Amino acid sequence: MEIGAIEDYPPAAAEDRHSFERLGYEAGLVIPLASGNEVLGSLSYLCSDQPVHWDGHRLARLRLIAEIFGAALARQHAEDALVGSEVLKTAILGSLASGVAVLDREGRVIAMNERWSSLARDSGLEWANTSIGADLLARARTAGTREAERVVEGSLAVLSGELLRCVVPHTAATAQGPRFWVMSIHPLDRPEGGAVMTSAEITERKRAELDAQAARAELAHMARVATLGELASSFAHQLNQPLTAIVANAQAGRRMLASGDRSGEVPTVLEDIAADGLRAGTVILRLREMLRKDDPQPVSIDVAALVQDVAGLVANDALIREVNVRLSLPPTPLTVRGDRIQLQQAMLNVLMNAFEAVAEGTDGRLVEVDAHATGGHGVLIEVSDTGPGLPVPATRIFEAFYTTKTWGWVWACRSSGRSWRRTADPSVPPTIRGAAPS
Amino acid sequence: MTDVATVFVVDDDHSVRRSLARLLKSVGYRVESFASAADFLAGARGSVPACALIDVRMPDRSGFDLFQELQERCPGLPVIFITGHGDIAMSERAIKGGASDFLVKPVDESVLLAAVERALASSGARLMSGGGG
Repeated sequence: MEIGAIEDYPPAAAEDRHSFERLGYEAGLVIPLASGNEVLGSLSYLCSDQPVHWDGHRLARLRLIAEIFGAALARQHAEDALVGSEVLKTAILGSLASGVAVLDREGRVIAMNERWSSLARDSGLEWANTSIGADLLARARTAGTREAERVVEGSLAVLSGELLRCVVPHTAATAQGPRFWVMSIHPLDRPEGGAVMTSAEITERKRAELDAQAARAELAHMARVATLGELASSFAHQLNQPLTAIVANAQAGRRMLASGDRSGEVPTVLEDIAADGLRAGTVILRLREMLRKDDPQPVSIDVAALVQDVAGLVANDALIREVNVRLSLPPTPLTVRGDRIQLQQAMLNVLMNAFEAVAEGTDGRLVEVDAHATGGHGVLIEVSDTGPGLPVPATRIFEAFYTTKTWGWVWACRSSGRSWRRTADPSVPPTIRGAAPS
Repeated sequence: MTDVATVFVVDDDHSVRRSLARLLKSVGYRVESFASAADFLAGARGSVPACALIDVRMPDRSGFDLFQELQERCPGLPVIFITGHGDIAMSERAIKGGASDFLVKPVDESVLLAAVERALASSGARLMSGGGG
């Protein structure tokens, strides 16, 4: 803005003119101090004794001075911003509950917070207890532990862009019990690349997860015990049969020996006794397996054989309840991968529910089980009964402890990725379907 | 007819059938074994004296159902029930229905043989189907 004399002020700037006059200025020049498109301030030249003609030469030199001042001001602002940014970054890193270490693309530490070092010490990962400038990945390589190897592999994959994220859990035994940490590695979002590593202790959460897992396992075990209680009669019958044969054979064998074993049948009698003993042992083994409290063990399971096994388990119950059980199974194995006990328990529960569903009818108490492969995607097991059908909404049967019975429990099963659902067609008998991936 | 006492053993469990038959034969009885009520009705031949040792719980047709039919087709054939599920109600039902005895598995030979002896002593039965003896 150029003011050569007081009269140069336009009428619209009367107030500014008045101020100019009051201060005793005759002429003035104001040049903005800019950096790019940003105005950082202004440089003013004021003359109080006479009007000034701001010619081009004078203006050029004064603009040059303004540029120099503008550049210096811009540099100062940039430095102030940088310091402010560093202060903010340090404050943020220092405030985090997690440990943070920032790496450049070579794996050297370019920033970290105090929490990173303290967590490294607490978790026993001494290779991670380092300082800015250190080659963290080189230190991890020398550690020789499986976790350190995984951190190196994951970091390299993140730095190269192969992975978007890597998580490495770590457990340490302490006098107070195991403690759990997790280290996450993410890409650093800047053109030069790099990675951000965070470390956090998750002991409380992990213990809660383990407690919940143990509670679920205990509940599943209680469910198996409850079901086996309902099948006590079946198990007793299954044991009684071989025991009856053993007793009768032993008594017959004794008589044969007393009479000189003229028929030569005693060896056969003994073989039969041994076979029935093993048969009884198998029943007890099956009982023990169902009462087992182990963690789920995924193995290959022949679903057709398992269905026949479970049908055999409940055969006596079916007999007592006068329920016909019809199995439609292929002659070849139907293989899936899963926990045998869980699948067995689920099958058992569904069959027992079906038996109870048909109990009130007097004619045609029928439960049908159909198992078949589903075109490469697994095995489908369908259990239909001639009972009154499922309540609406049928999905409620999957709620824990939901029952329409006036006594006992209804157990349905949804676990390990397998789902059990009712058919939608009301014209067909109520059907529970389970799909097990192969 | 034959003078050798015959015991019909009807039980769906192969080992039980075989072992009971073996025990009864070792004492000198003639034994015919059947895996189901239908097999028994179709295959048993008339014999005096005779008795039937019948399992209560069998697939397709229970021992009680078979007993009811035997009372019409073969009155006088003593029936001894044998079961692994014995309870008081079931034993009452069996005895009040006319059964000779009610035994619980596993059964001691002395109990079994005594029951068979009593049953055979009262036997005057002749099966009215499955051929003559």
